[in-house]
Amino acid sequence: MGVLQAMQSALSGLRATQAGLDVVAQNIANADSVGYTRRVLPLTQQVSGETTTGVKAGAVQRMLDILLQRQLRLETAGAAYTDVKANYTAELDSLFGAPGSESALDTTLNKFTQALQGLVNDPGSFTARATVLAGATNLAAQLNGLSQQIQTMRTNAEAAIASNVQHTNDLLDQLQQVNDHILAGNTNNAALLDQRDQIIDDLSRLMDVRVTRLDSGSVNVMTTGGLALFDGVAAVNLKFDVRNNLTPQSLYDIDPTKRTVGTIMVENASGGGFDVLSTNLIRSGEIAGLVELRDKILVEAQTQLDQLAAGLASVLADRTQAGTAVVGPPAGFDVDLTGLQNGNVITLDYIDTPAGTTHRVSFIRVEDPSQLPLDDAATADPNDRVFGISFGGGFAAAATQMQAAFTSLGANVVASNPGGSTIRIVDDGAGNTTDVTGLSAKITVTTLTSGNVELPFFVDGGLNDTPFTGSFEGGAHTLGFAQRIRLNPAIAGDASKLVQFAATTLAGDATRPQHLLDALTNSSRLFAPESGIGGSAAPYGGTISDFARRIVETQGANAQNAQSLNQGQSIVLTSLQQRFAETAGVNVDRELSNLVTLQTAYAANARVITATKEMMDLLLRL
Amino acid sequence: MSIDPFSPGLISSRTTGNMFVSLRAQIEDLQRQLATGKKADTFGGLGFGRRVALDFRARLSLIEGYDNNVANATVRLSLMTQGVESLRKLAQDGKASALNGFAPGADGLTASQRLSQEGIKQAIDVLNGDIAGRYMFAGRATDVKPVETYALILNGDATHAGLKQLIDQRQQADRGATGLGRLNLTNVAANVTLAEQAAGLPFGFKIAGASADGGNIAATYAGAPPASAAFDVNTQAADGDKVRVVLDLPDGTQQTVELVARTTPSAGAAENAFAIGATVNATAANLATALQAAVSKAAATTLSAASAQVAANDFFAGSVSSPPVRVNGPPFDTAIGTIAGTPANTVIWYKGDDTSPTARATAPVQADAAQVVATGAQANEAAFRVVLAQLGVLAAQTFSPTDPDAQARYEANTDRVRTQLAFPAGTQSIEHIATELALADATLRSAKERHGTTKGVLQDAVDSVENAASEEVATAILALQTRLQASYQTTSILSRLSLTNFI
Repeated sequence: MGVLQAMQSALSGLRATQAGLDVVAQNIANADSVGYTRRVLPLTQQVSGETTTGVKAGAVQRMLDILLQRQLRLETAGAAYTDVKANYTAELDSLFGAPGSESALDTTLNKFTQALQGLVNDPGSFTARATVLAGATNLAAQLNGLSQQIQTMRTNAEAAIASNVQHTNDLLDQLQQVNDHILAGNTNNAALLDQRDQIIDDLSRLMDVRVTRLDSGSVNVMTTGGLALFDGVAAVNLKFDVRNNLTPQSLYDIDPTKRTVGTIMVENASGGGFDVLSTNLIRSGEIAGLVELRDKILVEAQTQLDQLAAGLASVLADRTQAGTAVVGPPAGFDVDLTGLQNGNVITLDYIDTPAGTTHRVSFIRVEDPSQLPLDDAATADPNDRVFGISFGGGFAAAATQMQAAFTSLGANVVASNPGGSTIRIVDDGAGNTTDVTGLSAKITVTTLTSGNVELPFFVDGGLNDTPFTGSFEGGAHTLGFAQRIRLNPAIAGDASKLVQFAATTLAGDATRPQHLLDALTNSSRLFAPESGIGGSAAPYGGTISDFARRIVETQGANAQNAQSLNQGQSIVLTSLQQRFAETAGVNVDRELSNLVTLQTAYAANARVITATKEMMDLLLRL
Repeated sequence: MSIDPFSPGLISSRTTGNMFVSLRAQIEDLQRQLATGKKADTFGGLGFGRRVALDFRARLSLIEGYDNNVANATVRLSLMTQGVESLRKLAQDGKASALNGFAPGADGLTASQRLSQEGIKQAIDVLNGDIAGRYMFAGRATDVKPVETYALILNGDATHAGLKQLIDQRQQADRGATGLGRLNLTNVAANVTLAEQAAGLPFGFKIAGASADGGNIAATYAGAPPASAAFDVNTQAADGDKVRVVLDLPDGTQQTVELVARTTPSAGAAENAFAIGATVNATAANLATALQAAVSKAAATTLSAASAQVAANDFFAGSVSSPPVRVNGPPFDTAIGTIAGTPANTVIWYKGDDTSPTARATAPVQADAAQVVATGAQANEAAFRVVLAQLGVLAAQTFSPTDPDAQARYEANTDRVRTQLAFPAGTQSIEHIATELALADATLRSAKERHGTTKGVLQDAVDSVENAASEEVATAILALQTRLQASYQTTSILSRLSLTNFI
């Protein structure tokens, strides 16, 4: 081994330390860069034949824990999902006002109730009447406002989905480009790999992505639900047909002809595509959160308000028409259906004998054949079978339709029209296999001084102020009713109608005010399980004011839950980020100590060269 | 926080930054709590207590509503009680002044009558009392002034008959054309028969019995309609023999006309005695003459007073849905029946609610969830009507000082007025009404007291959920402040510790 060899080694050492310095400089310069992973330069001995001839700088390596990275991406998606939910539910919660404040929904309802209490106490008082009208107007306006705000939130969510889908497409395009570069050049290029990881990290905020590395150096990106976003060569293009100004009627449906909100479509080469939301291919990330808000959480909140508004209107306007017993055999009931409105319900109870099994059948007046057959969920009662019946062809024809319903149920009861607007339902008489135990109808009173204490107090402002009857004509009128409910303008214009239910009613007669008050605070009814309050087997039953409070409570609890979920998720995310950073993060102190080492090594190598030179000089001077 | 891309190299300073932000946010929230006194500004922030807050708030609001009702009702009740009290005093004064002797002025009115006139006016004012436009004695017709004016009630107008006119018509109908109280007197030989004019006649005297003392004169009472009393002078009457006819008056009182046979009748007591004539027939003729005089006198005095009572009672029993019953005429002195007046021809003194089963039920006050207190009153309640009718009887009639029967008639009237104003057992008295109203008032007050306690409990529960305890908040702020300061300091020290500074 000669002196020159030592010089060669020292020179290779100088080169290696210069390269090392370069990496340290990169690390320090990029310490704050997003997506930058710490790099190290491994040094290996340079072997020539059987001897070490120097040192060699290897390829720059990224310090990266692949498993942790995968987990981090999933939790990022989860955190984005809980975050967007927490934000929206907190906003929803705040819509219901501060506890005890004048703007709280329960305060408005309490004030209306209190006004009615005052009216019962002094029905003739102008002030008491005006207070009731003001209370009712406020209540209706607040329901309108809440509903409007919920729809605004849905519209915002829709717009956010649109921009997120656009962002996804941009990211996928970038991914494809960067990936092409990687494949075309050095598949170990740290800078390009960092860039690709960064794009996928960004993507993981929007949806739950799973990345598979391919042997070719390329990656395959798909959602955990199985939606392929990037197959290693080309990225898919997502499309979102955004709708503006969502209304309560704008709902998602798998059937594209019924769908009235946007959905995410994957376009394929032939120009067709398929609906990503229909098969739940995106399960987490901001997009999934927004979709859940738009199609479930906010829709549920709207349903709650609609149920409240519908209950409010019905409980004040619907009178119960009891059946009169028909002495048999065959025994049963007659019910007089004079004034039956579209959407009004006739309820039949019968039992099988001797088994004693009880059955309930609800007939709803529906004149719009496109709405038939009705779903059993058309009434809130979980135990009934529901049939839509048209009365447009007269009561005899209606009885025939009821009979057809009985046949389809296998029920041995007989419906007939004994005359006028009466429907008679009797058991099978001598057969004695059934007993009809009850027949009644809820009929909406549509005029103010009909002699009934009930009155159309609230009307449908979207349908020329017609009384709300729960009609299904052209779609369920309950849907979005909260946005249209308003105080009957005929009452607003003539407050005496709050008291006067017949031509001869005296000004101080508390009968009608008492009915209004009792209807609000005492009369219990079932609320549809779609509101998310109460289960489908046991829907929430209570008074209107109970239900209103449960709405506020449910929204408060939802917000609180979303909030604590989000907090938990962000803690998980933070700790994962910290663990990830332990490996991938640049620690300036460490880099600086590396720098000192490199400096020393450089000086030492240089000293070797100097020494070699001195030795050469010595030799030459001999 | 939002999910944003992060650089691994900066994670520690980022975490520290986030920690500062969240500590600051906590302090700001505590500051808000201190300023507003509220734990949270949304129901979500209230935690599980939100159900208590919501439900109890609703109950508090209901109780507040009940309390408002009670407050309104107690004011109304105290005004009503005052009114009823003054009516009771009117009745008492009327009763007392009816004891005064007969001393009419030139216009035929005694001091008591003048007092009665003023009394009615006062009673009308009381019964027309309103509170903020709500008439208290109109039942459910709270917007209708329940009682007509004094002038209209007493005098009527061109087309509507008032009390005076109805009393006069009734008096005519009861007295009859012959002044015998719708009785016929016949004298054939030794027989004297007093008979009702017709069967079922609603006017005049009703013969309820006949008797005779001494055995010389036989009295026969035939009840079968028309009732009659026959006296047969079978043998010559002896001095001191008595005959008696018992007469029922339309107001339910009874009067006995008693005549004594006298050999030499003393002057001045002619109507109470008849002279024994030369023959039984002559005695019978004398008896007939005396009977004629006695019955005529009774018809002009007690019957007249009874007529006034009946007419006044009928008049005040009238209301919008059941107009008063009046004599079907003219002619009135030969009238054979009554007829319901119409709003077109008769004054309907009471315009208020007259269809409620009870007057009290016309103003129910909901004092609690299930407790309804009846606080209504109607001007046409029996006790009020008695006061008005009795004062009206005196106010509507005149007693001329020149009329020989005037004093007897006046006294027959005041007798009845006194009896009626004492509210005989079995009839509603003013005290009944006052008691019922006082009871309602007491019930309301106890409900209010109960509400006060309940409200306190509920409010405490709501406060414990919604309100932030300022001591707790202040302590929490202090603790946070210390932590934040310590963190700032440590962070600042750590940030200065970098190898860069030492190379």
